[in-house]
Amino acid sequence: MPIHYGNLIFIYSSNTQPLPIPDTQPSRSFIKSLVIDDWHNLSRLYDMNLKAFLPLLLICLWLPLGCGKPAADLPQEIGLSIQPATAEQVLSAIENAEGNAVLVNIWATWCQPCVEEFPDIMKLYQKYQDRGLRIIFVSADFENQTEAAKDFLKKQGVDFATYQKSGKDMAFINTLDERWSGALPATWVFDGNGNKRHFWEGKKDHAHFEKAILDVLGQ
Amino acid sequence: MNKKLKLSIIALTLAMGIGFTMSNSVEAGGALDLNAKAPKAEVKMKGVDGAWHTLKDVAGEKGTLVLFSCNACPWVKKWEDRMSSIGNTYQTKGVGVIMINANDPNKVAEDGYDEMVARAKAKAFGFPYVVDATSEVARAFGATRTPEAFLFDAKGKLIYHGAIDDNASDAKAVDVPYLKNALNALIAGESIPKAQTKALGCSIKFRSEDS
Repeated sequence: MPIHYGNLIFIYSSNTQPLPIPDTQPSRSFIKSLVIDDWHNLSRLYDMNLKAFLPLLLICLWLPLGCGKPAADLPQEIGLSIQPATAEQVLSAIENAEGNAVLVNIWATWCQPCVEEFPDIMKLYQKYQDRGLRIIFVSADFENQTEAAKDFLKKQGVDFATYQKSGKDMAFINTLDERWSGALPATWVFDGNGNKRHFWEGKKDHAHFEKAILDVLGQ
Repeated sequence: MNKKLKLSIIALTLAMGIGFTMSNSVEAGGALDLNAKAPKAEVKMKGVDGAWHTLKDVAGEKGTLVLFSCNACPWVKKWEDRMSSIGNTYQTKGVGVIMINANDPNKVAEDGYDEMVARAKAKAFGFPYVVDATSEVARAFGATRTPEAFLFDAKGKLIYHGAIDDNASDAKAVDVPYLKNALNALIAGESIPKAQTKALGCSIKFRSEDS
């Protein structure tokens, strides 16, 4: 079964239950799970004298681990991480998110409305991830609260790279969006071409988020 | 159709498309513009001293500083000592000062009246710390977060709107004390060096409009 990733086609060979073909480009964690969780099939391939496939498989493993198309200036990590980022680096991450819709949410552990809306964002991520929804969380926690932020992200089931605001507030705010007053939470939804399609400040409910996401993804 | 006309139509179509995309959805507060007068100047707000205060009453001969703040927000806590010092200092220099809490205590218990009284005492606020009981004053100002400062000159025109300074975390590491600079310029009769600034802050937990 071919799974497209970038310009490569990963030939997945298995005699067991066929895997579903995703409608859109699969996430890195999805590809990683296919490769790493299926060592039996890998050894089966090897036993079948398909040694010639090994280099290709290794390349396919290498690509999703962050060597395919890294965001400028920011290391790509598999699994939960929280990295300091300037507004320019957040914009770069948006550009490199490779999604059909990219939701950016600025939050903080001390921000009650942020904490309250967070589970809804994660529910929608689970629901629309396969249609190309990508989420970029940026924590506005102070530097000594990074571990608390990471603990919260872990409890919410976040298993991808996230960021923590760094640098001066005003430059960060205005570089991201002149319309943003600086109040938290703040949310944007970008389309696959990096165009800002929705922006709002303050807490919103599940329906509000879903409407904006579907407006960008298409019904 | 000549080539120039065709190109013009294509360019116009693209421009319309871009314009539509950019204006698709925006929701953000619209704060007072510079030079605007303070709205709701006669709304009576109960202070932690038990007395009622209005923006009109607290106006100073040189200007008026309106600070939207609260008890609970970590950003306020970072800036609180600086706000207290600024308020107490400039009040003696002819600037009227008032701190307004527009948060709904039903949403944030730490923002109840008794807690406000205790905070004002602990931080030695020498100026009114008042309750915006319906959040109508904050709404009229277009305030969105705490802390957020609005400074008016002697004629009542807004001359500064924004942050306290550029470093909430560390008072010793402040590069630009925005509000102090504006206050000093106001008192000296000079133009404000930076009239609008921004900082991250907690969103105001507005009371419902029918409260």
